[in-house]
Amino acid sequence: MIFNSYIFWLFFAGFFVIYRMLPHTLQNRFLLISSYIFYGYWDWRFCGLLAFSTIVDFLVAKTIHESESQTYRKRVLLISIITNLALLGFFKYYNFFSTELVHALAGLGLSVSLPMLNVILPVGLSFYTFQSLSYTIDVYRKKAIPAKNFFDLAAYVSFFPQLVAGPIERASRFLPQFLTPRVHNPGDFSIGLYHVMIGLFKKVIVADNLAPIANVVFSKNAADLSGAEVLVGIYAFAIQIYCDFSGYSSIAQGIAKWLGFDLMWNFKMPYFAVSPSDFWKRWHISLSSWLRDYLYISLGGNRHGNLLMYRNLIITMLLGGLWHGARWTFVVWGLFHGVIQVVYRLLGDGKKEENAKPMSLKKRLLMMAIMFHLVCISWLLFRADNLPQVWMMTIKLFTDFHITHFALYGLGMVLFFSVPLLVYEAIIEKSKDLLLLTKIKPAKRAFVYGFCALMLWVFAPLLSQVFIYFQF
Amino acid sequence: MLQSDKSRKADIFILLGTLCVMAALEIIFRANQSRVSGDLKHLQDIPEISKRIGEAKGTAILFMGNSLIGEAIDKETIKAGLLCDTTKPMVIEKVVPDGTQLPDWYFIFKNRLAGAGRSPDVIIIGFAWKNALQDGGEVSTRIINFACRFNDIADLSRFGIRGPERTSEFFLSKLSSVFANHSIIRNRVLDIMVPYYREGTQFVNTASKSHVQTPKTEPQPAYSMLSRLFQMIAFHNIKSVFLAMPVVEPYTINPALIELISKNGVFLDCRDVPGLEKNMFVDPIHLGKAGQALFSRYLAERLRNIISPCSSARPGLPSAFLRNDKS
Repeated sequence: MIFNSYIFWLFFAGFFVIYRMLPHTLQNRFLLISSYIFYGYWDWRFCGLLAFSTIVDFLVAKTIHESESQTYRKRVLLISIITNLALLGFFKYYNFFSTELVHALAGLGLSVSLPMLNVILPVGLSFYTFQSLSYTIDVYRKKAIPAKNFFDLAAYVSFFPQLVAGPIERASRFLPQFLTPRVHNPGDFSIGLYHVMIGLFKKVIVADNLAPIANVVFSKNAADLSGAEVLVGIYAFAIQIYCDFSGYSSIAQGIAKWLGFDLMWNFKMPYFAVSPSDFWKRWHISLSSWLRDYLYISLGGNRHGNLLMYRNLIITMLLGGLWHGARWTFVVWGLFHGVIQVVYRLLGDGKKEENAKPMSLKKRLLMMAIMFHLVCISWLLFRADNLPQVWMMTIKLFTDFHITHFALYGLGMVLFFSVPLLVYEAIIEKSKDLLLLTKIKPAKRAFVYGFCALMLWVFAPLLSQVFIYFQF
Repeated sequence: MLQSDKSRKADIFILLGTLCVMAALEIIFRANQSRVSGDLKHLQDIPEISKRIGEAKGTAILFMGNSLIGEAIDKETIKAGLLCDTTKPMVIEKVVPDGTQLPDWYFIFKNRLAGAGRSPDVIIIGFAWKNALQDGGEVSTRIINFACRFNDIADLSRFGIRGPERTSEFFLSKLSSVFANHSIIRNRVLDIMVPYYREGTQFVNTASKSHVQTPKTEPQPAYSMLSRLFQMIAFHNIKSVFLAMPVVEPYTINPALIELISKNGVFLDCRDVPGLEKNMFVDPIHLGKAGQALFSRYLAERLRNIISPCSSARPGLPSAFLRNDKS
């Protein structure tokens, strides 16, 4: 059941009618049941895993909260961390690490045979384990009070709008919203509609229309591609992944708003970033801030000098890459982002200068273009099946400048579908008001929504695509 | 005025505004759809074709399928090849909407051809490839809009075309011509806006198909929709002929399909037409002018043994194929 399917909207319509009629406590119970139905629609067996993770974290948080001994609290917290990471490790990384171990031992002349697991990766596992972990860690850090009622916590962990692809919420911010009665303010419907409309536009119109171009380029033998085709394929993927993921987050935010919840912003025009640190303040904000708060700072952050800060940055980004999946390309992707962060820092990024002049438009545009292309290089690492493919495509990119009909077609498609969004985001970026559209005159808003609806009605591709981040 | 009232009014205004934009598009499209594409014009012409068949004095032959047979048939060559006496009346028509398959033909026949006055005497359906005519195909949205009725959802469900996605698409296609024909509008606009759009799309489609993994064990093919079509054809006393069409790459046909067709009508294997060369195709499936002429002559020759107006008791059909005259 995905957001760009009719079944989801039928499910949501039925759910919403009942939900709005229920009192607060029953709303949470109904939300819980519906979230498990939503999740079980993929595979009912996944629900067991979700329930197990929730039970463990409920008991752990309760124990931590009741204990005064710091050592004991830490030990109990470890149970939660180990359980959640073990689940992730088992389903997501076991095959990868066992294969690599066998290869490494074979390199040493030792022949070892390890069993391979033939299991499906539960949808959204990385998202809800991180959200669940944030709960126990926040309780440990005394930033959040544990839920008294198990069902409230279960509703928080399994909240269906953001269950399978985030944003990864923090218990300190999000759990209280489950514990207090919903408040529906005037304008909430409007904000929700804005998120849903923009999200569907990004996903269905932009991402799904560009997906076939990126898929073709990345599925072909690099030797058969020209440099221009590789470049167009990377551009197509850069825009596809952004619109796919931010589209999902936006729809989740909109639906949650209609249900009376505030989800955090997960994307803030990331391709307008001027540096890596700026990019990570705008891209997958819930994960980057999670990694910052629970990993980077725990490693020491920038508290022990530059050298250790660079080390911490690289470790954090490396693990961030691995979070996406068990593949060397993801590891190198994370490493690449870590390295460019360090390089930018060495070049002076992040230093606070007093009386510093604001960046000129020309310089800003140049910095944006550089940053966008650095991110594009990282997308090549992210999307390629393996590192030799990355290498081959990179060689093509810099040695073959032949412009083919397919490259022109791909570029035409990229421009046709992404320019309206680019213009819209530039206006938002300039205004610094993410909800600008909800504040303009209703006639103008109707025009924009009419355009979005028209595009959805006419330009939806023949084949809808599953959200990319579901696999993580 | 309270803030909540103001906000609610604005929301209603926006929703209505959005609906108005969509309604305006729907009205504009409905008024101009035959100008949007030749294929839509062809669909719009089907009632007229049905009328011509109904008013035919002599034998009425209907070719049905998609562009595969549409491009391969020259009506005049067929007519000349079939008639011994060219003064005798014979009506030959083609209903060949692009990219259609059995479920589309089924509903066009059921709701737009059969029962609309006099039915054709002979229906000739052209198909190709291994999986043609078996269950599992889907009705295209534009055919749902053009040929289906709301209660056809039950028929679709019986043939395994069900589920919330399909059902929603069915109702939306019935309600909105823009939705039903969105791929045509989309292609039309992108063809203008994007360089090498057709070439690029063809390339993407071919590349995507080559990456689709076929299951190791294919399920046994079922032909319940085809059987139902045969029942309808028999009910209207129409003679059916099924043509396995020539294409560039050779293909096989399931023996069970040949058996089913032969039991209910006539199977003509035209996969290998003498003299038809690869250079007579304009692409892997469509015949060019020379190919069309050669194929039409060949087909007329083969059809003559089946539809022989010269030996017919009634103009147009041999006595063995005569149906009970409804009049």
